[in-house]
Formats: sequence, C-alpha cells, structure tokens
Amino acid sequence: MGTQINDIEAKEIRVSYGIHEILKGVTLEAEQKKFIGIIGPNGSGKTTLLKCIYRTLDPAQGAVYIGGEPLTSMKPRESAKRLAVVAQHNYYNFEFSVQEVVLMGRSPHKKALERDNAQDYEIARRALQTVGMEAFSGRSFSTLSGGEQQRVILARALAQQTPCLVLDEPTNHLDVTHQLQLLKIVKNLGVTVVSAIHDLNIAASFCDILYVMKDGRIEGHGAPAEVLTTDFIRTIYNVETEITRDSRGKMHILFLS
Amino acid sequence: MRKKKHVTRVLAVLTSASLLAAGSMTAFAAETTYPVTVTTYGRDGSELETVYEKAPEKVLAVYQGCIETLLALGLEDHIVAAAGLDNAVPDDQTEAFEKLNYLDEFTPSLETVTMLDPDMIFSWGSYFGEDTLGEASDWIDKGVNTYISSNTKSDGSDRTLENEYTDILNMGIIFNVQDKAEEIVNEMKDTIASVLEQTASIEEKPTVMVIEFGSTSITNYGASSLGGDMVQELGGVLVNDVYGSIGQEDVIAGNPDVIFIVYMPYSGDDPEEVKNDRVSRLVDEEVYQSLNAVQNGRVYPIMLSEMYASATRTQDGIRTFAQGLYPDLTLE
Amino acid sequence: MKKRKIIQTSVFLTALAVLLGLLVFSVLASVAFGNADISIREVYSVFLYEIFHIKRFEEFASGPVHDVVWLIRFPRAMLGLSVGMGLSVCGAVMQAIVKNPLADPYILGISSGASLGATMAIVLGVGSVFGGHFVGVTAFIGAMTTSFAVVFIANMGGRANAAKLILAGMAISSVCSAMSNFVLYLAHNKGATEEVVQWTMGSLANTKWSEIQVVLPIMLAGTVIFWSQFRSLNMMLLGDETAITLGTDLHRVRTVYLILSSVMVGFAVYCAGTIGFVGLIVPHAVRMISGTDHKKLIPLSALVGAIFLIWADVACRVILENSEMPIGIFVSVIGAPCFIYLMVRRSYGFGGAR
Repeated sequence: MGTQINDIEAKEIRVSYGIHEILKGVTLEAEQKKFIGIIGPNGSGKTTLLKCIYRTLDPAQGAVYIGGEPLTSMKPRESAKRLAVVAQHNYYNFEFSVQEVVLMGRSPHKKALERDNAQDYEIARRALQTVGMEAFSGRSFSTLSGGEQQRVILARALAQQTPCLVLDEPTNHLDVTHQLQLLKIVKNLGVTVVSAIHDLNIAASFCDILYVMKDGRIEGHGAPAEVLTTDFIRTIYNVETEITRDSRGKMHILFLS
Repeated sequence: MRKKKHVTRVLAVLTSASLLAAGSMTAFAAETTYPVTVTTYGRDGSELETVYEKAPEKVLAVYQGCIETLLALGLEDHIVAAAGLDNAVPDDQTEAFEKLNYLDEFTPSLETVTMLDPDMIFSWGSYFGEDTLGEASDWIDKGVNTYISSNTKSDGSDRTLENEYTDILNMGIIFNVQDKAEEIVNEMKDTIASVLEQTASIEEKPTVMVIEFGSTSITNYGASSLGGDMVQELGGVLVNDVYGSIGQEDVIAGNPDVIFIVYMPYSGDDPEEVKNDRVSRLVDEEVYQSLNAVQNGRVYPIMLSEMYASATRTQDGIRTFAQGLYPDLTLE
Repeated sequence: MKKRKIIQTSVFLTALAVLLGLLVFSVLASVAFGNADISIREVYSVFLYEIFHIKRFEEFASGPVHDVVWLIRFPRAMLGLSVGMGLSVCGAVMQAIVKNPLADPYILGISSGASLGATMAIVLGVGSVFGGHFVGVTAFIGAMTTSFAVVFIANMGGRANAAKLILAGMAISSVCSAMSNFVLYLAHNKGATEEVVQWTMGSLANTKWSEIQVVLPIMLAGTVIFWSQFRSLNMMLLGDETAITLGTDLHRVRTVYLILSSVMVGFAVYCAGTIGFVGLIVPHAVRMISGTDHKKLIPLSALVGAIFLIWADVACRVILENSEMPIGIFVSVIGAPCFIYLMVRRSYGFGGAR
C-alpha cells in the first residue's frame, strides 16, 4: 500500500533550545485513520514534537511528511488543508463570536479577497453541530467555559476539513464528562489523529497506537495493551501500578502509592 | 476708562516714589533719595516690594530689552554680566555693550548667577524659575533685588504701553538717572501725541490686525497684548480682540485695512529671510488674496522685539505701527 | 443559520450605507460652521459653482466668501476626513498587530519620531530646503525613520512579535523624546518651544488642496488594502502559531502592514501633526457594536473616524469665539472620558461581546 494523503510521518526529529536538546531524534508514524496517542511524563517533549508536526517549530534536523510530502515543501495554506490542530492554550484577549472563530477554519480554503459563502457557513454549522455547540453560534467565544471553548476550537479544526488532526492534550482542564465527550467526537471523525494525552486510562481506551516519550526519545510504541505494562510504566513514570480489566474487557491502570 | 486704569496702576507701582510723580509734572528731573522702595512682580504676577539702599552696582541683565534699557540709561558700569541676546543691540549702544561681561549661557544657571554675586537681577518673568535664574522671591529673601519686565508676568493681565514706560522710569529711580529715563519715555509719548495730532482729521481710523504665523498656527495680537495696545494708542481699530491662536478664516473674517505681520529673528537667523518668509505666508497665499490689506499693499512687517516687552525698542515699534497705519505721516 | 447570516450581512451593509451618508452630510454641514459670518445659501452657492460651474453662481467664483468656503473650510473638512479615517484604520491594524487593545497608531514611536523631526525643523531649521511645509516634511521623515527602526529592531535576533514591537517602540520613543527635549533645551528659544508644543497638539488648519490631493488617495487606498486583509488581521489576534495551523504565515504580512500603516500615519502627521486618541478610541467604540471581525471593523472604523474628526474640528472652530482650539486638546478632552467609560462599562478586553 502506497502513501496515503492522511499519513503523518516524523523522521529523526531533533530540536534544541540553546544547549538543551529537547528532541533527540524522534521518529513517529501515523497511518491512515488511526488514533495515535503520545504519552510520557511532563517535559518529555510531547508538545515540542507536536509543534514540529503542526509547523510552528522548525526541527534542527529531520523532517515531517504529510501524505509523503515534506512539510517544508508546502505552503502554510497547503499544510493547513491537510492538517488541523487543537492546541493546549486557547485564551484570546479579544471577542470573536463562536461562529467567527469556526469560520476561520475555512481560511486555508479561501483566496485572499474571497468572502465566506453559503457553503462555508454550512460547513461551520455542521462542525458546530458535530461538537454539540450549534446553539452557541452567536455567543462571544470568551464568555464560554473552558470545555465549551475547547469544543469550539475542535469545530474550527473540523471546518478545515483536513484528513489529519493533531491534538495537544486537548482534555487538559476539562472535567471527566467533557474529556470523554471530546475524545469520542474525535474518535468518530474517521481521520488520522495524533494526540498528546496525559491520562493513561484515557489513552488506553481511545488510542489505536501509543508512543511513549521520555527525555526527548521514543521509549516504545505499539497497541495500548502491549505498551502499558506495569514494568514499562515503572521505567517511564517511576510509579507502581496494577493493571486490571473490567467486565467488558477494558484496561484499567490503578496507581499504587 | 482704559487710561484711568493705567494711571491707577502706575500710581500703585510708584506709591513710594512720589518724587517721580513730582518730577514728571515739573520740567526738571528729580533725584532719588535712598532707600527707595520699588514694586516689582514674581513670575506669577504677585507683587513684590524691593528696597534699594543705593544704586545697584552688580546687575545681572538677562534678555534683550533688559540689557538695552540699562545701556540706554548709560548704566553699563553697573552691569556685572549680561546674557540672552537674540539680536545685536542698536548701533549707538555697541560701544557700551562691548565693555560688558556677556555670558555664553543664553539663560544663566542658578549656579552661574550665584557665582556672579549680583546685587540685582533684571530679566523677563519667564526666566525666573527653579531651573533657570531661580525664583524671584528667593533672591529677594537673600537680599538680591529682582526686577521683572512688567509685561512679562504670566498672570494673564493686560500688557500695556504704560507698563513699558513704568519699567524705564523705575530704572531711572533705582539708578538715580530719572532725567534720562524720562527723556526716553517722553520721546515715546511725544511721538504718539504727534501722530494723533497729525491724524486728528481722519474720521475713520484704519482697522488693523497684528498677526504672527507659526508653523501650524496664527497668533493674533489682540487688545490685551502690548502690540494691540500700541495700535489702539495710535488710533488704530483692532478687528479681533483675541490675544491668542486664531484660524485662517478669522483673518479673512476680520479683513482689516492694515495687517502687521510679526516676525522674530532668533539668534542665528537671518533677519531679512525671516521677515520675507513671514510676510509671504500672507501675501503669497491664494487664501488671502481677497483681503483688502493684501490687495491694497497694506501689509507691513514688524519685529516682535519692537512690540513684545519691547523696553527701549518700543519707540521703534510706535514708529513702525504709526507709519503702517498712516502712510502719509511724517515723523521726525 | 443562513437567515441569520443574511440578517447580519444586511445590518452591516445598512450601517455602512448610513455612515457613508452621514459622512457626506458631515463634510457638507461642517463647511457651514466657522467664525466668518457666511450664510448657508452662500456656502452652497460656492459649492455649486466650484463643482458644476453653474453660471448663475459666478459671483461666488472668487472673493472672501469663496476663499473661506472653498480654500479654507472645505479642504479642512477633507483633511479631517482623511486623517480621521487613516488614524482609525491604522489604530485597528496596530491593535491587531501587537494583539493589544491599548495600541494606537503611534505605538511604534511614530509620534515621538515625528515630534523630533518637527522640533529639529522648527528649532534648527533642518529641512528648510523642502519649502513652506518643511516642518511637516521633516516630521514625516522622522515618523518613517522611527517606525522602520522599530520594525528593524523588533526583527533582530529572531522574528518580531507583539511584545518585541511594543518594547522597541517604547525604547525608540524615549530616545526620540529625550533628543527633542535636548534640542529644545539647548536652543533656549521660547518662540520655537511654543511652536513645537502647538505642533504636537495637532491642527487641521492651513490645509491646501494640493495636500488633500496626496493625503486623501493614500488614506483611501490604505483603508481599502487593509479591508481586503481582514482574514490575516483576524488571524493576528489568534497569534502566530494558530495562524500557521490555519494556513497563514503572519510574519511577512505583519511587516508589510507595519510599513503601510507607517506611511499612512506619517502622512497624517505631515498634514495635521499628532492627533491622539482617535486611533485608540474609534476602533474600540466600533468593536463594541460590530464585533472584532475586521471585515466589518475596518470599514466602519474608517467611516466613524472620519466623521468624528470632522465634527471635532468643527467644535474646535466654534467653541472659542474669534479664535481656535487645537484639535489635539479637544480630542483628548473628549476621548479620555469616553475611553474610561468604555473601559469601566465592559470587563476589560477587546470589546464587542454580544
């Protein structure tokens, strides 16, 4: 099978801030329509790796490919048509309406002077519907709760209509209900997803493949059940765990203190 | 009404100098009897009483009019230092001026002034400040008399010809040279009297504006300015009383018979160039072509120092204004 | 949703049309105000003659009435229009560029650069080769030099960002004000000091048609260009990183915007000195009603700013009898309380919540 448009590949990525090497040759592959999770302790380089993938950081060495093409050969507009992002931080010092925020997701598809047309409004409406925020369309973005804002940002990413989606700890600051709700939406989109995830149980239940990072390196990858073993978690996080399965066969990681 | 006000003010200033009042009424000059008290002002216009035990011997004179007044009264030997000339002193004073200790500093600092150890400081109100010559009241407390040109107080009071006379006469009192002071003032008064006499038959006196072009603004010298007062004393009628900033439109609305354009060459400027430039800002502008004064060629330049706290140059100002107002006039 | 969109769009278009009508009215009405006693009939006779060359009004082809209306008041109104429009648009753009609602068109040190230029021109006679309006020309050069210096410094050691621009602007500003104060201090020239002070207070007076012919097209073109850039301007508020993920690299456009707005502000300074607050307050006020979307914000700010400055100038002409008030003072006197009101009324932010 050849390279598909919704493949993401990061090869031998190295990034340094001053003398500190943050990423020490990271390679990651996301095949089509899979949900790839990146886990690892704080400061292991998850966000840095994602930033290289979504282009706000240029790696010192290595390259990122989307659909087999190197990112650097694409214009930002082109990469934005292939890859959408829901980043960690979305506090803005201004007031846009929810609809305006979502419509911005259409900009990679627009020429410089082109206005948003009926089709764009329809795409925005459906994106909001998907995340269950249709009723908030006219509200001011900044008046929404954290969870609602995160869903609107997801809707904006959906409006980009990309085959790939990058999430950087999208459920940070969300309560359990909203964490599960948001990830369910993402899971059902049918696109390739690369997501940094903090919570191991959530990672285990939503991801097809997990990459485990520590100190700027990938320490292992594979299906959650293969990766998340008591021994491996001890080496990575330095905590004792017990791994059980519930009546439906779902994995649960219990932290023993 | 206006005259009366001046008279009372003069009387107030000269309360303790009754000798002078007698002097100006009689033909012969009076001698000053020391100690003599002279009323001057702080920068803000507050009255200050200064007592002179004898004629000051170490005067610091700062700015054009102050230096020239002292020189005109033949007091160069009383001046310890002078500073702040924008233009050269008149030719007849050059010789005396060269004897002076003229400072490099345009505005001497408090330190320089202190080192000079003057017994009197004579300057404009604006130069008496914390970061310039020092506060007038502080100097008086230290036993150094100050005298501020009466038309440079910053209290917004009217600036008048009478104030200029008073300053010169007060110098006459302070230095006991009252005859010379009166001679200078009388020459000015005589000129005005002569103009009024010659023009008595003119029923409709010319209407006038005295204006100065800045980079973006136009200043109108109205009734409360010295220039405005001089014009009125000469019989001219000011069309705009405002002393302050006006618009182009106000000039056109005023449309006077005569326009005086104020110009001021500061130190380093070429006087002719400044004069021509300022005049051309009126006569060469399309906007002003409909003005009577422009059409009839009755636009005259006048130097700021002849009509703004002008001291002894007031005489030049009176003549410049008179000749502009009444072109047929003959002045000796 | 579709219906909603149509309603929104038509409200916006109606607002645009109403403001445009109001602007035309303002220009025409403002010409009727002034110290010279001229009747409304005379004012419009001059207009009719100058625009349509109707024979019947030939008596108004010259003379004081014609000069006041056509050579003083009308160019003044047009300058108010141009400068008000330019400053408001540049204010909105600067606020987007530095992502700070407190930004105004002068944030990059343009006003202090211009003041330095003006001071050098007035005190030292620098640039007198440029002829009658050399103070404005030198101020323009000062404004452009400082804003380019700020952009250059902000780009040193990596890409410019909002914080670096603001800091560089502040640094250059203080250098420039220190230098102008030094020049003034050394000169000991009271007349010049007064002139500089007056210049910094701004004025629409003494405008010529030849200036309008340059300034109006520049401001109009700048406004249209910025209007066309509404997407990038919106993106700027989201930040560089988000903008990249949405397909826009802001780095280059930001530099272009800075240069374009510097030119616009430079010309405003050249013609009218530094008039504060307009560029700060007009975009704020408009945002309260239109929201943050620059597609609406730019044209509405342009119109509101133009109307505002025309009437502010009218007020300056009529408040004092037979005299004029500097427009900078007037605008600040009204602007500051309005600003405080806006600030207090809303939780502080970028305005426009609905």
